[in-house]
Amino acid sequence: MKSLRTYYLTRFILVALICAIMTWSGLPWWIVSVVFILGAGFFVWAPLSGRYRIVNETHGAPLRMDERGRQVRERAGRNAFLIMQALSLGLFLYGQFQEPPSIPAAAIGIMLGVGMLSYLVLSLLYEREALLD
Amino acid sequence: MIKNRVRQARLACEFTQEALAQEVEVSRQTIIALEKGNYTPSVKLALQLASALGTTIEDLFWIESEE
Repeated sequence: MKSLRTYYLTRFILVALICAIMTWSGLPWWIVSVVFILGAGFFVWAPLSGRYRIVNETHGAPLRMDERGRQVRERAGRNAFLIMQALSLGLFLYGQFQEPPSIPAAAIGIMLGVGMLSYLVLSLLYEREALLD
Repeated sequence: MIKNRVRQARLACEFTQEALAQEVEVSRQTIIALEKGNYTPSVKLALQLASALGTTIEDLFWIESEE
């Protein structure tokens, strides 16, 4: 419990420090708020996710991914990449049927977004899958 | 299919899942997945588990043919 208290305290200080630097550099308050929520949210989620363990001895970077966490990440990454490849092939074929042949620039952003979303969903799915009977 | 008796060995040693996880430097969820038979550990982790539970790797893990 003590190790988690140290972890939460040091991570909170780290996120607060980053946000203070961002505020000092003149970034709008809402960007700083989003960074704070995402940063703090990640550090709260990480030890509960089962993908990381906390090693306070390495003060700078206490989050360590164990071998199953790495396996989940690699599997999700590989499959998200395959989804993106299939999507880009679909986009390419769609583009070929246009006159003149073209792919809308926004499609690349959407493709990357789908890739990232697939990675997040798949990693959560694989994480849960191993813990169910 | 690889089977294991990690749960029985852990209980015999009066370890909690959390304590065993800390001993072999993995997350508690990895121990849960292992005990449920949903995760096959690396040779390194299997050896660490055997050492932490005071047993041999052969006693902890075995292959069961799927028929």
